[in-house]
Amino acid sequence: MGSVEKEKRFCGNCSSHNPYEYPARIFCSKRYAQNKEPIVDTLWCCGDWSPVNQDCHCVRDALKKKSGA
Amino acid sequence: MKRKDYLQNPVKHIKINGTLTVDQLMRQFQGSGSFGAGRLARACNIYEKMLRDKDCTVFLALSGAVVPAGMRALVADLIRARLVDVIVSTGASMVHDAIETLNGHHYKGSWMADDRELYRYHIFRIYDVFVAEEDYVKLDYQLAEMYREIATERNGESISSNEFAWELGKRLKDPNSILRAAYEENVPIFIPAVRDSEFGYIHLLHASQEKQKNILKVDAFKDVPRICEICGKSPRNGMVVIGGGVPRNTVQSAAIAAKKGMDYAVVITMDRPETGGLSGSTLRETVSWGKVKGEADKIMVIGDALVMFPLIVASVVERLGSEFMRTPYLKRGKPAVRRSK
Repeated sequence: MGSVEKEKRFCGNCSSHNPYEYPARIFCSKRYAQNKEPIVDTLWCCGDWSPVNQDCHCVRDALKKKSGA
Repeated sequence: MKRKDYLQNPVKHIKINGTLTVDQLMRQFQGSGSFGAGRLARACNIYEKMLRDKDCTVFLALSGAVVPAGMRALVADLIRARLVDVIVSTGASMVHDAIETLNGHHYKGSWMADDRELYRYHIFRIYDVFVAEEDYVKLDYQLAEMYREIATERNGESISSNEFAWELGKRLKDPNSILRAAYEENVPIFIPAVRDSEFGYIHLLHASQEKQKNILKVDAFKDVPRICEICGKSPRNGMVVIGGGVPRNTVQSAAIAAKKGMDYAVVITMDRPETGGLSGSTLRETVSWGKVKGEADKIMVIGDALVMFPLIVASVVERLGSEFMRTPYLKRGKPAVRRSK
Protein backbone atom coordinates (compact mmCIF):
# COMPACT_ATOMS: atom_id res chain seq x y z
CA MET A 1 0.00 0.00 0.00
CA GLY A 2 2.75 2.38 0.95
CA SER A 3 4.57 1.88 -2.34
CA VAL A 4 1.63 3.07 -4.44
CA GLU A 5 2.07 6.70 -5.46
CA LYS A 6 -0.50 8.91 -3.82
CA GLU A 7 -1.76 10.36 -7.11
CA LYS A 8 -2.71 6.83 -8.27
CA ARG A 9 -4.92 6.20 -5.25
CA PHE A 10 -8.54 6.38 -6.31
CA CYS A 11 -11.75 4.82 -5.05
CA GLY A 12 -11.84 3.03 -8.41
CA ASN A 13 -8.76 0.99 -7.53
CA CYS A 14 -9.53 0.50 -3.85
CA SER A 15 -10.40 -2.96 -2.53
CA SER A 16 -13.76 -1.67 -1.18
CA HIS A 17 -15.04 -0.59 -4.60
CA ASN A 18 -17.82 -1.98 -6.76
CA PRO A 19 -19.16 -0.16 -9.80
CA TYR A 20 -22.40 1.74 -9.32
CA GLU A 21 -22.52 3.75 -12.54
CA TYR A 22 -19.62 2.52 -14.59
CA PRO A 23 -17.15 4.14 -14.85
CA ALA A 24 -17.91 7.40 -13.05
CA ARG A 25 -19.33 6.29 -9.69
CA ILE A 26 -18.66 3.43 -7.35
CA PHE A 27 -20.31 1.87 -4.32
CA CYS A 28 -18.05 1.73 -1.28
CA SER A 29 -18.93 -1.11 1.10
CA LYS A 30 -16.70 0.37 3.81
CA ARG A 31 -18.55 3.69 3.81
CA TYR A 32 -21.87 1.83 3.78
CA ALA A 33 -20.83 -0.03 6.94
CA GLN A 34 -19.90 3.31 8.51
CA ASN A 35 -23.32 4.80 7.67
CA LYS A 36 -21.72 7.31 5.31
CA GLU A 37 -22.95 8.01 1.76
CA PRO A 38 -21.66 4.90 -0.04
CA ILE A 39 -21.84 6.16 -3.62
CA VAL A 40 -18.77 8.20 -4.46
CA ASP A 41 -16.81 9.28 -7.53
CA THR A 42 -14.46 6.70 -8.98
CA LEU A 43 -11.70 9.30 -9.00
CA TRP A 44 -12.16 10.27 -5.35
CA CYS A 45 -10.13 8.77 -2.50
CA CYS A 46 -10.21 8.65 1.31
CA GLY A 47 -7.77 7.74 4.04
CA ASP A 48 -9.00 4.12 4.22
CA TRP A 49 -7.76 3.33 0.70
CA SER A 50 -6.30 -0.13 0.17
CA PRO A 51 -5.22 -1.61 -3.17
CA VAL A 52 -7.29 -4.04 -5.23
CA ASN A 53 -5.80 -7.46 -5.86
CA GLN A 54 -6.83 -7.55 -9.53
CA ASP A 55 -6.86 -4.65 -11.95
CA CYS A 56 -10.01 -3.37 -13.56
CA HIS A 57 -10.73 -0.58 -16.04
CA CYS A 58 -12.67 1.67 -13.66
CA VAL A 59 -9.96 4.30 -13.15
CA ARG A 60 -8.72 4.17 -16.75
CA ASP A 61 -12.24 4.62 -18.15
CA ALA A 62 -13.20 7.27 -15.56
CA LEU A 63 -10.10 9.27 -16.46
CA LYS A 64 -10.98 8.92 -20.16
CA LYS A 65 -14.52 10.07 -19.47
CA LYS A 66 -13.30 13.03 -17.42
CA SER A 67 -10.94 14.14 -20.16
CA GLY A 68 -13.72 13.75 -22.73
CA ALA A 69 -11.80 11.10 -24.67
CA MET B 1 -43.72 -61.47 -21.48
CA LYS B 2 -44.05 -63.26 -24.76
CA ARG B 3 -42.11 -62.25 -27.86
CA LYS B 4 -45.11 -60.68 -29.56
CA ASP B 5 -45.75 -58.46 -26.53
CA TYR B 6 -42.56 -56.57 -27.29
CA LEU B 7 -43.69 -55.76 -30.79
CA GLN B 8 -47.08 -54.14 -30.22
CA ASN B 9 -46.61 -50.43 -30.93
CA PRO B 10 -44.96 -49.44 -34.18
CA VAL B 11 -43.22 -46.07 -34.26
CA LYS B 12 -45.31 -43.53 -36.12
CA HIS B 13 -43.19 -41.33 -38.31
CA ILE B 14 -43.23 -37.62 -37.68
CA LYS B 15 -45.01 -35.58 -40.33
CA ILE B 16 -44.63 -31.84 -40.52
CA ASN B 17 -47.41 -30.43 -42.62
CA GLY B 18 -47.27 -26.71 -43.21
CA THR B 19 -48.13 -24.79 -40.09
CA LEU B 20 -47.96 -26.89 -36.99
CA THR B 21 -48.84 -25.72 -33.48
CA VAL B 22 -46.60 -26.65 -30.59
CA ASP B 23 -49.11 -29.18 -29.31
CA GLN B 24 -49.53 -30.70 -32.75
CA LEU B 25 -45.77 -31.17 -32.86
CA MET B 26 -45.88 -32.78 -29.40
CA ARG B 27 -48.57 -35.18 -30.65
CA GLN B 28 -46.26 -36.12 -33.51
CA PHE B 29 -43.52 -36.71 -30.94
CA GLN B 30 -45.94 -38.89 -29.01
CA GLY B 31 -46.62 -40.93 -32.12
CA SER B 32 -42.91 -41.51 -32.48
CA GLY B 33 -42.70 -42.22 -28.78
CA SER B 34 -38.98 -42.54 -29.06
CA PHE B 35 -35.87 -41.07 -27.44
CA GLY B 36 -36.06 -37.43 -26.36
CA ALA B 37 -39.19 -36.75 -28.43
CA GLY B 38 -41.10 -39.52 -26.68
CA ARG B 39 -39.96 -38.33 -23.26
CA LEU B 40 -40.93 -34.75 -24.02
CA ALA B 41 -44.39 -35.78 -25.22
CA ARG B 42 -44.86 -37.88 -22.11
CA ALA B 43 -43.82 -34.92 -19.92
CA CYS B 44 -46.60 -32.87 -21.54
CA ASN B 45 -49.12 -35.61 -20.78
CA ILE B 46 -48.05 -35.83 -17.15
CA TYR B 47 -48.09 -32.06 -16.56
CA GLU B 48 -51.54 -31.91 -18.16
CA LYS B 49 -52.73 -34.71 -15.84
CA MET B 50 -51.40 -32.87 -12.78
CA LEU B 51 -53.33 -29.75 -13.76
CA ARG B 52 -56.56 -31.62 -14.54
CA ASP B 53 -56.36 -33.56 -11.27
CA LYS B 54 -58.48 -31.40 -8.96
CA ASP B 55 -56.83 -32.87 -5.87
CA CYS B 56 -53.23 -32.36 -6.96
CA THR B 57 -50.87 -29.65 -5.72
CA VAL B 58 -48.25 -28.76 -8.34
CA PHE B 59 -44.73 -27.97 -7.13
CA LEU B 60 -42.25 -26.23 -9.44
CA ALA B 61 -38.59 -26.67 -8.47
CA LEU B 62 -36.25 -24.12 -10.03
CA SER B 63 -32.50 -24.37 -10.26
CA GLY B 64 -29.96 -23.23 -12.81
CA ALA B 65 -30.03 -19.92 -14.61
CA VAL B 66 -33.75 -19.90 -15.36
CA VAL B 67 -34.18 -16.12 -15.28
CA PRO B 68 -31.01 -14.97 -17.09
CA ALA B 69 -31.90 -17.25 -19.99
CA GLY B 70 -35.34 -15.65 -20.38
CA MET B 71 -37.90 -17.73 -18.45
CA ARG B 72 -38.82 -15.09 -15.86
CA ALA B 73 -42.11 -13.96 -17.41
CA LEU B 74 -43.03 -17.58 -18.20
CA VAL B 75 -42.78 -18.57 -14.53
CA ALA B 76 -44.62 -15.40 -13.39
CA ASP B 77 -47.39 -16.14 -15.89
CA LEU B 78 -47.71 -19.73 -14.63
CA ILE B 79 -48.17 -18.38 -11.12
CA ARG B 80 -50.83 -15.89 -12.21
CA ALA B 81 -52.64 -18.54 -14.28
CA ARG B 82 -52.60 -20.93 -11.31
CA LEU B 83 -50.69 -23.52 -13.27
CA VAL B 84 -48.21 -23.92 -10.41
CA ASP B 85 -49.09 -23.89 -6.72
CA VAL B 86 -45.80 -23.91 -4.84
CA ILE B 87 -42.30 -22.85 -5.93
CA VAL B 88 -39.06 -24.10 -4.45
CA SER B 89 -36.12 -22.19 -5.82
CA THR B 90 -32.43 -21.56 -5.49
CA GLY B 91 -31.60 -18.18 -4.02
CA ALA B 92 -29.87 -17.26 -7.28
CA SER B 93 -33.03 -17.54 -9.39
CA MET B 94 -34.85 -15.14 -7.07
CA VAL B 95 -31.82 -12.82 -7.06
CA HIS B 96 -31.89 -12.77 -10.87
CA ASP B 97 -35.60 -12.01 -10.73
CA ALA B 98 -35.03 -9.14 -8.30
CA ILE B 99 -32.22 -7.72 -10.46
CA GLU B 100 -34.62 -7.37 -13.40
CA THR B 101 -37.30 -5.96 -11.09
CA LEU B 102 -34.91 -3.17 -10.13
CA ASN B 103 -34.29 -2.30 -13.80
CA GLY B 104 -31.22 -4.45 -14.23
CA HIS B 105 -30.80 -6.62 -17.31
CA HIS B 106 -29.30 -9.82 -18.58
CA TYR B 107 -27.63 -9.44 -21.97
CA LYS B 108 -27.04 -11.80 -24.87
CA GLY B 109 -23.32 -12.49 -24.88
CA SER B 110 -20.91 -15.19 -25.93
CA TRP B 111 -19.35 -18.15 -24.17
CA MET B 112 -16.18 -17.34 -26.09
CA ALA B 113 -15.76 -13.87 -24.56
CA ASP B 114 -12.43 -12.97 -22.95
CA ASP B 115 -13.25 -13.56 -19.28
CA ARG B 116 -10.25 -11.59 -18.00
CA GLU B 117 -11.44 -8.62 -20.01
CA LEU B 118 -14.99 -9.09 -18.71
CA TYR B 119 -13.55 -9.03 -15.19
CA ARG B 120 -11.80 -5.73 -15.89
CA TYR B 121 -15.09 -4.26 -17.11
CA HIS B 122 -17.00 -5.64 -14.11
CA ILE B 123 -19.20 -7.85 -16.29
CA PHE B 124 -20.21 -11.33 -15.11
CA ARG B 125 -20.81 -14.22 -17.51
CA ILE B 126 -23.48 -16.94 -17.18
CA TYR B 127 -22.44 -19.14 -20.11
CA ASP B 128 -23.46 -16.89 -23.02
CA VAL B 129 -25.38 -14.32 -20.99
CA PHE B 130 -23.76 -11.20 -19.54
CA VAL B 131 -24.81 -9.17 -16.52
CA ALA B 132 -23.20 -5.93 -15.35
CA GLU B 133 -21.84 -5.99 -11.81
CA GLU B 134 -23.50 -2.65 -11.13
CA ASP B 135 -26.90 -4.34 -11.49
CA TYR B 136 -25.90 -6.62 -8.60
CA VAL B 137 -24.53 -3.65 -6.64
CA LYS B 138 -27.76 -1.70 -7.03
CA LEU B 139 -29.62 -4.80 -5.90
CA ASP B 140 -27.31 -5.14 -2.89
CA TYR B 141 -27.85 -1.54 -1.89
CA GLN B 142 -31.64 -1.56 -2.24
CA LEU B 143 -32.18 -5.00 -0.72
CA ALA B 144 -29.90 -4.21 2.22
CA GLU B 145 -32.30 -1.36 2.97
CA MET B 146 -35.25 -3.78 2.63
CA TYR B 147 -33.52 -6.24 4.98
CA ARG B 148 -33.26 -3.43 7.56
CA GLU B 149 -36.94 -2.57 7.12
CA ILE B 150 -38.04 -6.22 7.44
CA ALA B 151 -35.80 -6.78 10.48
CA THR B 152 -37.23 -3.66 12.14
CA GLU B 153 -40.79 -4.77 11.47
CA ARG B 154 -40.06 -8.26 12.80
CA ASN B 155 -38.26 -6.81 15.82
CA GLY B 156 -35.52 -9.42 15.89
CA GLU B 157 -37.79 -12.42 15.30
CA SER B 158 -36.51 -14.92 12.74
CA ILE B 159 -38.55 -15.61 9.62
CA SER B 160 -38.72 -18.59 7.26
CA SER B 161 -37.36 -18.38 3.71
CA ASN B 162 -41.00 -18.51 2.59
CA GLU B 163 -41.80 -15.40 4.64
CA PHE B 164 -38.60 -13.77 3.38
CA ALA B 165 -39.70 -14.30 -0.25
CA TRP B 166 -43.15 -12.92 0.62
CA GLU B 167 -41.62 -9.81 2.22
CA LEU B 168 -39.49 -9.17 -0.86
CA GLY B 169 -42.47 -9.73 -3.18
CA LYS B 170 -44.45 -7.19 -1.16
CA ARG B 171 -41.77 -4.57 -1.78
CA LEU B 172 -40.90 -5.32 -5.43
CA LYS B 173 -43.54 -3.72 -7.64
CA ASP B 174 -42.79 -5.14 -11.12
CA PRO B 175 -45.81 -7.27 -12.23
CA ASN B 176 -43.49 -9.47 -14.35
CA SER B 177 -41.51 -10.43 -11.28
CA ILE B 178 -41.77 -14.01 -10.02
CA LEU B 179 -41.52 -12.79 -6.42
CA ARG B 180 -44.20 -10.15 -7.01
CA ALA B 181 -46.56 -12.54 -8.82
CA ALA B 182 -46.21 -15.07 -6.00
CA TYR B 183 -46.90 -12.39 -3.41
CA GLU B 184 -50.01 -11.17 -5.22
CA GLU B 185 -51.34 -14.67 -5.94
CA ASN B 186 -50.42 -16.04 -2.53
CA VAL B 187 -48.24 -18.76 -4.03
CA PRO B 188 -45.58 -19.80 -1.52
CA ILE B 189 -41.95 -19.60 -2.60
CA PHE B 190 -39.44 -21.58 -0.56
CA ILE B 191 -35.72 -20.78 -0.85
CA PRO B 192 -34.12 -23.51 1.26
CA ALA B 193 -30.51 -22.57 0.43
CA VAL B 194 -31.20 -18.86 0.72
CA ARG B 195 -27.70 -17.88 1.88
CA ASP B 196 -26.07 -19.59 -1.10
CA SER B 197 -26.66 -16.65 -3.40
CA GLU B 198 -26.33 -12.89 -3.46
CA PHE B 199 -28.99 -12.88 -0.72
CA GLY B 200 -26.26 -14.12 1.64
CA TYR B 201 -23.82 -11.37 0.71
CA ILE B 202 -26.53 -8.74 0.95
CA HIS B 203 -27.01 -10.00 4.49
CA LEU B 204 -23.31 -9.47 5.12
CA LEU B 205 -23.63 -5.89 3.87
CA HIS B 206 -26.77 -5.29 5.92
CA ALA B 207 -25.20 -6.74 9.07
CA SER B 208 -21.98 -4.77 8.55
CA GLN B 209 -23.68 -1.44 9.22
CA GLU B 210 -22.59 0.13 12.46
CA LYS B 211 -25.34 0.73 15.04
CA GLN B 212 -27.72 -1.61 13.21
CA LYS B 213 -30.41 -2.29 15.80
CA ASN B 214 -32.05 -5.30 14.17
CA ILE B 215 -30.29 -7.84 11.97
CA LEU B 216 -32.54 -9.85 9.68
CA LYS B 217 -32.72 -13.50 10.68
CA VAL B 218 -33.87 -16.07 8.11
CA ASP B 219 -34.32 -19.59 9.46
CA ALA B 220 -34.76 -22.14 6.67
CA PHE B 221 -35.71 -24.83 9.23
CA LYS B 222 -38.95 -22.93 9.75
CA ASP B 223 -39.93 -23.87 6.19
CA VAL B 224 -39.91 -27.60 6.87
CA PRO B 225 -43.21 -27.94 8.75
CA ARG B 226 -44.92 -25.56 6.30
CA ILE B 227 -43.94 -27.39 3.11
CA CYS B 228 -44.62 -30.78 4.75
CA GLU B 229 -48.05 -29.52 5.79
CA ILE B 230 -48.83 -28.54 2.19
CA CYS B 231 -47.83 -32.00 0.95
CA GLY B 232 -49.69 -33.65 3.80
CA LYS B 233 -52.95 -31.79 3.27
CA SER B 234 -52.99 -32.23 -0.49
CA PRO B 235 -54.57 -35.55 -1.53
CA ARG B 236 -52.08 -35.82 -4.40
CA ASN B 237 -48.81 -34.05 -5.20
CA GLY B 238 -46.93 -33.48 -8.44
CA MET B 239 -43.59 -31.90 -9.19
CA VAL B 240 -42.06 -30.29 -12.24
CA VAL B 241 -38.33 -29.96 -11.75
CA ILE B 242 -36.01 -27.73 -13.73
CA GLY B 243 -32.49 -28.93 -13.03
CA GLY B 244 -32.37 -30.55 -9.63
CA GLY B 245 -30.18 -29.83 -6.63
CA VAL B 246 -31.58 -28.47 -3.40
CA PRO B 247 -34.98 -27.42 -4.84
CA ARG B 248 -35.71 -30.89 -6.22
CA ASN B 249 -34.73 -32.62 -3.01
CA THR B 250 -36.69 -30.16 -0.89
CA VAL B 251 -39.88 -31.04 -2.76
CA GLN B 252 -39.20 -34.78 -2.72
CA SER B 253 -38.23 -34.79 0.93
CA ALA B 254 -41.41 -32.93 1.88
CA ALA B 255 -43.39 -35.66 0.11
CA ILE B 256 -41.70 -38.42 2.05
CA ALA B 257 -41.89 -36.50 5.34
CA ALA B 258 -45.63 -36.22 4.74
CA LYS B 259 -45.57 -40.01 4.31
CA LYS B 260 -46.89 -39.77 0.78
CA GLY B 261 -44.42 -39.69 -2.09
CA MET B 262 -45.07 -37.76 -5.29
CA ASP B 263 -47.94 -38.92 -7.51
CA TYR B 264 -46.63 -37.17 -10.62
CA ALA B 265 -43.09 -36.14 -11.55
CA VAL B 266 -41.47 -34.42 -14.52
CA VAL B 267 -37.74 -33.77 -14.21
CA ILE B 268 -35.82 -31.84 -16.87
CA THR B 269 -32.08 -32.24 -16.48
CA MET B 270 -28.84 -32.85 -18.32
CA ASP B 271 -27.10 -34.38 -15.31
CA ARG B 272 -26.13 -38.04 -15.19
CA PRO B 273 -26.92 -40.60 -12.50
CA GLU B 274 -23.50 -42.28 -12.27
CA THR B 275 -22.02 -39.70 -9.88
CA GLY B 276 -24.64 -40.42 -7.25
CA GLY B 277 -25.62 -36.73 -7.22
CA LEU B 278 -29.26 -35.88 -6.79
CA SER B 279 -29.70 -33.77 -9.93
CA GLY B 280 -28.97 -36.71 -12.21
CA SER B 281 -30.62 -39.37 -10.09
CA THR B 282 -33.26 -41.25 -12.01
CA LEU B 283 -36.87 -41.27 -10.89
CA ARG B 284 -36.56 -45.03 -10.41
CA GLU B 285 -33.83 -44.31 -7.88
CA THR B 286 -36.13 -41.74 -6.25
CA VAL B 287 -38.80 -44.45 -5.93
CA SER B 288 -36.36 -46.47 -3.81
CA TRP B 289 -36.46 -43.66 -1.21
CA GLY B 290 -40.24 -43.43 -1.29
CA LYS B 291 -40.00 -39.83 -2.45
CA VAL B 292 -41.87 -40.69 -5.64
CA LYS B 293 -44.49 -43.45 -5.61
CA GLY B 294 -43.71 -46.57 -7.57
CA GLU B 295 -46.97 -46.23 -9.49
CA ALA B 296 -46.51 -42.48 -10.08
CA ASP B 297 -46.75 -40.99 -13.53
CA LYS B 298 -43.17 -39.93 -14.00
CA ILE B 299 -40.64 -39.03 -16.67
CA MET B 300 -37.17 -37.59 -16.88
CA VAL B 301 -36.51 -35.37 -19.88
CA ILE B 302 -32.85 -35.16 -20.77
CA GLY B 303 -32.26 -31.77 -22.30
CA ASP B 304 -31.81 -28.05 -21.94
CA ALA B 305 -34.66 -26.75 -19.77
CA LEU B 306 -34.70 -23.49 -21.69
CA VAL B 307 -35.84 -25.49 -24.72
CA MET B 308 -37.87 -28.21 -23.04
CA PHE B 309 -39.86 -26.32 -20.42
CA PRO B 310 -41.38 -23.66 -22.72
CA LEU B 311 -42.35 -26.44 -25.16
CA ILE B 312 -44.07 -28.40 -22.39
CA VAL B 313 -45.91 -25.32 -21.12
CA ALA B 314 -46.93 -24.19 -24.61
CA SER B 315 -48.26 -27.62 -25.49
CA VAL B 316 -50.20 -28.06 -22.25
CA VAL B 317 -51.66 -24.53 -22.29
CA GLU B 318 -52.85 -25.21 -25.84
CA ARG B 319 -54.52 -28.46 -24.73
CA LEU B 320 -56.20 -26.83 -21.76
CA GLY B 321 -57.66 -24.05 -23.87
CA SER B 322 -58.55 -20.56 -22.78
CA GLU B 323 -61.71 -21.66 -20.92
CA PHE B 324 -59.85 -23.96 -18.55
CA MET B 325 -60.18 -22.84 -14.95
CA ARG B 326 -58.30 -24.36 -12.10
CA THR B 327 -58.76 -23.93 -8.39
CA PRO B 328 -55.66 -25.29 -6.68
CA TYR B 329 -56.38 -27.60 -3.79
CA LEU B 330 -54.63 -25.15 -1.46
CA LYS B 331 -57.04 -22.42 -2.50
CA ARG B 332 -60.33 -24.29 -2.21
CA GLY B 333 -63.09 -21.93 -1.22
CA LYS B 334 -61.35 -19.02 -2.94
CA PRO B 335 -62.43 -17.84 -6.41
CA ALA B 336 -60.84 -19.50 -9.45
CA VAL B 337 -58.97 -17.37 -11.94
CA ARG B 338 -59.73 -17.55 -15.64
CA ARG B 339 -56.59 -17.52 -17.72
CA SER B 340 -56.30 -14.62 -20.14
CA LYS B 341 -56.45 -15.60 -23.79
